Amino acid sequence: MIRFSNVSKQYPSGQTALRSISFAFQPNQLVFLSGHSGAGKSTLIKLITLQEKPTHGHVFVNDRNLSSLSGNQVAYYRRTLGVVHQDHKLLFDRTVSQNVGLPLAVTNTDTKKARRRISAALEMVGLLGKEKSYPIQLSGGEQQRVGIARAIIGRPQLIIADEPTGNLDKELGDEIMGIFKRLVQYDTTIIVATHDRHHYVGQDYLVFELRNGMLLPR
Amino acid sequence: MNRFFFLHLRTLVSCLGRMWRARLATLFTVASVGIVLSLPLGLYTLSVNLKSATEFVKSTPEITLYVSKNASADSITELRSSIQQLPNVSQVSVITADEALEEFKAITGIESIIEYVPENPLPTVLIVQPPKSISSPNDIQQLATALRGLELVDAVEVDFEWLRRFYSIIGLVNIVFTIVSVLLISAAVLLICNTTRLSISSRQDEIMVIDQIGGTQSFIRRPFVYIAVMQSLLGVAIAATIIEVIRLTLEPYVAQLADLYASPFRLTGLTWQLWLTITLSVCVISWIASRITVKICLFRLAASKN
Repeated sequence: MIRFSNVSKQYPSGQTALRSISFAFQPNQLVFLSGHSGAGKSTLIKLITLQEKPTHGHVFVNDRNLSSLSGNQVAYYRRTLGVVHQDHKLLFDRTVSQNVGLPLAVTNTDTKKARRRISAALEMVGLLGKEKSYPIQLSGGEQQRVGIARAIIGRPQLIIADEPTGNLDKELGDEIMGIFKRLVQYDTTIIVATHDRHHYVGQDYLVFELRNGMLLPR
Repeated sequence: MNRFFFLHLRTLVSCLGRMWRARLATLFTVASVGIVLSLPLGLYTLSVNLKSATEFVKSTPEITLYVSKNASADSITELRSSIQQLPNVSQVSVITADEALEEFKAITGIESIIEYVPENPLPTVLIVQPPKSISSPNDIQQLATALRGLELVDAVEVDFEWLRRFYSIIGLVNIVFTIVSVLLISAAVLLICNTTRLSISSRQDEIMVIDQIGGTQSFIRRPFVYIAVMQSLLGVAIAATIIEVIRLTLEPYVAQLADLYASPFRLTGLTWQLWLTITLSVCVISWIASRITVKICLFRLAASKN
């Protein structure tokens, strides 16, 4: 489903973030991207979400070469993704319900249908009843769960989480990872970038480890 | 089609809500646009009224024909009727030499001196009044030239200078009005563009998130364009109110002044058709300007993000 073919990324500043990365994996599983800070995890995620384009090589998602997408095709492609950020990227002047429903507003989903799906998404992350709250009224863990609800509401085939537990304590982090582990059961592929090894050590997950922009052999 | 209207309706409602929530900022922007627009539109109203006022002024130009002293009364009557039949002549009146002399005596009060003049030195005069459709100095000049060629006409006199000066002043005023109007309308458009730019700047995070979750460029652009157009519409409404209030305030004074000059001139406002044209034009201009602004700002935002 996801294939990186000899991908390198060099930023205009001259910094090389990724060097000849090649890997592929099948869908509907939880995949971890591991590595120290600056190893290239975020860059790799940005290549999948098309925030960046590779300097060399190609990225394929569902056999589609992402380099060939342009204009509105990029927007339509992004609708098939759910992205969870370390800093949540919530809109603080909108309620939880409005934040979660944003992907549905983008696709112009019918209001009644949107309301049902917002409730379902909030129920999945354990925030039902907080629809009218503003992000500022929520704890860090709750804000992250709002971010996850927003990522899953569009029923994406691929969810990408960049250090989703980075700002949370261990207990809250485990709770968030628990949500991702549950989501895999709904035929979803989840890529989690984390430097926290305890989320996958000793468990049967696919892990790609990066070091200085290079992929370490598994 | 329903989906398309629903999308635009939802954006419209959302934009109205946003403008209402930021009503003080909206009020300031709309009031500024309204005041800036009221100046060129006020000048245009003034220009329309000035043009209307000249309609009354231009009924006064007359052509004076001095008839040969040898002309008999019958030939003068014949001359008058032949002039009356010319296409560009509305009315011809005759002041006989005797009538002219009486008038001269009455005006100057030198009756006793004139008693010593052996014969009446004044000629018979024909006053030719062109129709209202003949107004420009060139048209009157053409008519005067035609009359000059008539038999028994010794001289033709038209006060072209004041007419030329008058039309020059009107022409100059119109050019000044046009320049000032273009500058002020540009200022209003720039104001809308700058407001849009500031709005984009304050909503960068939202734009980034929408971009990331798959919002198309048109989806991101639409609310900004809607708000710009609505601000322009409200600006036109404020400008119309300002102009009407000023017009209604001035109307009795202008009427009083016109009455003193025995003129039927009255201060009028712009027609609803003209207001509709102005409103549509302002909407189209602000739509284009805001689209360009949003495009530039989003491009810069994307560049700064990378």
